[in-house]
Amino acid sequence: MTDNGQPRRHGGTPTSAEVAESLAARRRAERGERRRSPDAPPERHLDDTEAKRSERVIATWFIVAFLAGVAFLVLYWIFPAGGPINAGVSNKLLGGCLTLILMSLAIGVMLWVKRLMPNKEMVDERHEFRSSDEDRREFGEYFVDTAESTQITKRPLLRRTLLLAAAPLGLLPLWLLRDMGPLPKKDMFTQPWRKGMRMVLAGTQDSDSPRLLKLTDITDFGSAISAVPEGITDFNQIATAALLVIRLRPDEIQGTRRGALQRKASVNGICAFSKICTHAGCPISLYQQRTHELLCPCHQSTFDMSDGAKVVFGPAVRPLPQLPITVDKDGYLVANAKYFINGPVGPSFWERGPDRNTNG
Amino acid sequence: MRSRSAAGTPPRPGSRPWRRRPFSRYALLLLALVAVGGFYAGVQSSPQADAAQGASKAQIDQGRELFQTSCASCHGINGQGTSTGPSLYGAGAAAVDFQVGTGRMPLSQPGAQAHSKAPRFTQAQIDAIAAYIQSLSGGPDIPRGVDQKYSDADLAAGGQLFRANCMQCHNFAGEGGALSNGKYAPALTTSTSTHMYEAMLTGPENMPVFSDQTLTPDEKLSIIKYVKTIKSDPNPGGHGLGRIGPVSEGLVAWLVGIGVCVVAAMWITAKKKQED
Amino acid sequence: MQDPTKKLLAGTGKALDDRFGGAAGLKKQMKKLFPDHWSFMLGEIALYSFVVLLLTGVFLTFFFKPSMQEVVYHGSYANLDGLRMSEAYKSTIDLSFDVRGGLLMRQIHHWAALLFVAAIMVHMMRIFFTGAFRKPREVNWLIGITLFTLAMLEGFAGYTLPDDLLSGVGLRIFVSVVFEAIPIVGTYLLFFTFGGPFPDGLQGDFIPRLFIVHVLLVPGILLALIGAHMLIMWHQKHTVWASRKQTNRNTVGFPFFPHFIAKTTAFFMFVFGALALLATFAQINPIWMYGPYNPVDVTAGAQPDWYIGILEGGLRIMPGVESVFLGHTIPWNTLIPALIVPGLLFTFMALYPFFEKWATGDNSEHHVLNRPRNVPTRTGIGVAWLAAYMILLIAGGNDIIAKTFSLSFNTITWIFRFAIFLGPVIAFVVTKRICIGLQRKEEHLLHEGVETGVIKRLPTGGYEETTRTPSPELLGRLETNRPDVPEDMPALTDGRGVEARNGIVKRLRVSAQRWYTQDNVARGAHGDGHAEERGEVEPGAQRPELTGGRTSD
Repeated sequence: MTDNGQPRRHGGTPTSAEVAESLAARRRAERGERRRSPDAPPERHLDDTEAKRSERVIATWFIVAFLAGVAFLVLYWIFPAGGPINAGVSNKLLGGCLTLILMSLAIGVMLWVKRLMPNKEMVDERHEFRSSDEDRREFGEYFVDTAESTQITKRPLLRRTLLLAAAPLGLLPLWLLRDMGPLPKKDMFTQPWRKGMRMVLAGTQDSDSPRLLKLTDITDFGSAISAVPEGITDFNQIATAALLVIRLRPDEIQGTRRGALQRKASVNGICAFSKICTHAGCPISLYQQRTHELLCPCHQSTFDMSDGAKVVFGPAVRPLPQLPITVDKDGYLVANAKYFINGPVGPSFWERGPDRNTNG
Repeated sequence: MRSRSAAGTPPRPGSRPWRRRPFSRYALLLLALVAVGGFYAGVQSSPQADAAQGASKAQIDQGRELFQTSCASCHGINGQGTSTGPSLYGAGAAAVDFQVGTGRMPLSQPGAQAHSKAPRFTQAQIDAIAAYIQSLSGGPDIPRGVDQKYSDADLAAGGQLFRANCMQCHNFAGEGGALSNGKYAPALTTSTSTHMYEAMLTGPENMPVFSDQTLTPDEKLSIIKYVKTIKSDPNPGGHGLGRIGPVSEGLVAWLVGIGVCVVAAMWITAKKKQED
Repeated sequence: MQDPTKKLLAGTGKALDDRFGGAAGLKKQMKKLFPDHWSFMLGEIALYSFVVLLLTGVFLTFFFKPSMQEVVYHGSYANLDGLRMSEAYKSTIDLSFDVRGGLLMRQIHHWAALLFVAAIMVHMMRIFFTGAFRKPREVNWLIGITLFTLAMLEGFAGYTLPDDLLSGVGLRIFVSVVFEAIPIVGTYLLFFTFGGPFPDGLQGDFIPRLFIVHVLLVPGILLALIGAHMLIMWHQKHTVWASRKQTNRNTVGFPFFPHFIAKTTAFFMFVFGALALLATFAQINPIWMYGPYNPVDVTAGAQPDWYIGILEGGLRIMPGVESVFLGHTIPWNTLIPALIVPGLLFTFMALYPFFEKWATGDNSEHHVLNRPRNVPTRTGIGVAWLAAYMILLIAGGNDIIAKTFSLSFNTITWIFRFAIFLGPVIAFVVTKRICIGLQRKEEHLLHEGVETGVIKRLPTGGYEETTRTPSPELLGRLETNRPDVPEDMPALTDGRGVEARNGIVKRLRVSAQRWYTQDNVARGAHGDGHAEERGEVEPGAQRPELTGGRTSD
């Protein structure tokens, strides 16, 4: 392979005479036969012993692949599944064998190509894709003539009724998709909290004994805990009802209008905010109690929880809605309204409109 | 809709909280007293600390001395706080054991957040400072015997609580994560169980406080068990890639995946060095 | 002919040809030539990742249950014992831990998905920067862009199926930014697509519908488009690098049988092997640690797979903007980064070939690739596009960056907010300058020769560095790859200049054409020594097609 014209490797430092000679050879080659350049490398005359050696090397790789394959089959039976430890062992052994099989086969085949197959590069002609003018004209004429012979050009009634017939057929699939889901109606505005509904500590709602939160459970300023409504297990409802319950020192709540609203909806400095980010709906709960910042891990919207959950950083626009809460006679924290202040909860959508105190 | 079985119905009001919390508090106290000996036997430099709950006067005095030389410049001569350090009234021994025991205090330099480092004091000295702060105005005490107790906790329940209340900052595998303005939630992978308990109890830095009423001792122990378990769990699928989720996976796919394939492609198309 | 294998092959061949014919056509196809260069195999990485995805995907469907029915887990993974979870999640845990080879297949499948999209992207970059999208290959370019987009959708659907916590949060964001954010029809689209509100719909339809999208609908389209992509490539023949031997009118390479088929089979094994290697030694998507999906929970570092990263990054750096208009909300903070910006990025890429054709007025067939440096404007545009893509992608991991390097993500976010506008501009200018610099260097080499570092003292007392003639390879490369200068370009105007009618568009087009060529380094006086090769110009072409000496060949 001395002259394939691939300008990828530098060979030595030829003299200008050599360059000229090589150029001339190339030109000759280009004028010559198309299929193979006369100065292309002579067909490889395989040295018999060398070929034998190559054969053995390649066969070795194939045997490695075979052995790895057998090992895979055997190890599959020897090592059981069941649990992360077993799965881990099995994964390493089976995966290791599979890697070995594939890589050895690949290497074997490539060595075969490189060492035993003829290594002559060929040249082939390329033709323009464009058809000749004559062909184009003939095709066009045939098409128009044939079309006319069907009378489609002369019978507008046929043309129009055919189109008419096709039109509803095209709409049919859309119609058929209608029952894929209900209309949104008020679903985007509803949430399950009702006045007097108690709160369950998030993480225990699935257990056999969900833990209900009492006023005395949130003892410390700087507490933050997630909660869901009692008795609600449907994910669609939890997805709008999830709360972050935090407790602030009363003097930490700011004196702004938002702060005043926040204070009014709280009890003993305990405030219940929607956990669903107003940006893209992530459950947001990275509460930094010293700075009162609540951070969303998805897109880093940051809310000031001492100022009515006002947005202080990131892509969110609206403050987190707040659920007014109070204490019932048994000391449980309960919802004090059937709506969120600044609701509905969650990200924005077309029908949402301005903030409102939505009910269920 | 995920249909629920009958077991999912809410409990009758009051059936559980009444039963569980007082019991576990007594249990904690009892277990703490029982475990004190064993706990301190493991702490090499404090053989003399045999009475944990009732700290001796000598210990408090030693603590005051250490406090006044190493802490008072920021926290005030009596722990009342200054412009550079918060008041420690009500902080309790647990906060001291966490802050000093994880090397966060004394602060080496002011910054967004105190970093964990090798502790400056021995455990005996830390206990002395803790006893002194506790003697000032009370606060959460050092939880005793957490190491022994958490192994009996409910692992799966701990996982549920961890996912609902901890993972948002500390990541799904307890590897930690970023917070606002350069702050961060530290990795839990090197934390001792006692320090984890104390952190929940006292809410260091920007971490919320989870008092024993907010998360019961049992619940705390189950969270600790979950964290300890996932930390020691092997990665069945191979290298854990830092257990930080899809970012490191994407990086590996590009570097190793595309890398190996491109190297293979180069070998496949490589030509023998030519002689001109 | 005594060899039984030979006999068998010949017999089968005869039997088939007796019934179907086709030996004549197949003979031609077997001799089809394929040029040999590593960068021509990038698309094959994507192709073979797809094959691996199909193979492992079929295995996974035998064990995965696409159902949101709630079950209680009592399996072999103690950390989740007794927890309620969907059947989808449980069956994924089970197939990972309780099916031999299940974890391996799942991990290969997921790694293959990441590699599939990554390879598509690398392949697309190769096509773009070498100008392989030019006539007659525009249709394949469009198919490629469609494949890229569909691959993202396919990957996202697959990532969501296990119903684990991370993917559930991902789906929550997807629903918010792709459905709910759309004005007027958004909520209707959501309810019709998934049968109700997030996360379950009214009948638990989210996972089953995503499943059928993931295993039938999108793969079907992908398969059809990949088939078309390959057939077109086969028919049009592969492009080649310019050299003295490889021209616009020939192909140089190795025949399909046996070389190409052997090499490509080996490459399939390598790609599969690389994926098996990753799946053996690197854990991916440990859903058992994420836990089952629950709308209350979230993890720090919530990220999608890398190919959705540009949406994630855009969402992160977008400032909060939302308008309420006549009682209706338009959430620009999700619409812009999730739909408009990616839409523009991909539409721009899809339409670029047509823009370049319009701008340069070049309507001829091209089978010889450009070297990126010789088309600095295109290369600059490509790098600017990549810069925008990379900034969005990296911004999607700003919290991981902040944590890893002890920085503040607030600062990083602000940097990215500026970088997304400045970065592409800077990337364009710098890239274009580098390209022109490289052109100059080559022009210098061609005229002055290669510097040897040997200093010669002249009789006059001065000093001079001796140079030598470049090697034939280098010379060939330099001589057959030349940038276009304005004089080479086809005339866009007739006669004396701009037509009166359509004046502004014409003027724009003239300046666009100059924009592509005016900064290029002109051929030196003795650089143009290929008149004889110019003689091989096709008579039908609008502009001279060269066998050498011009970049656009």
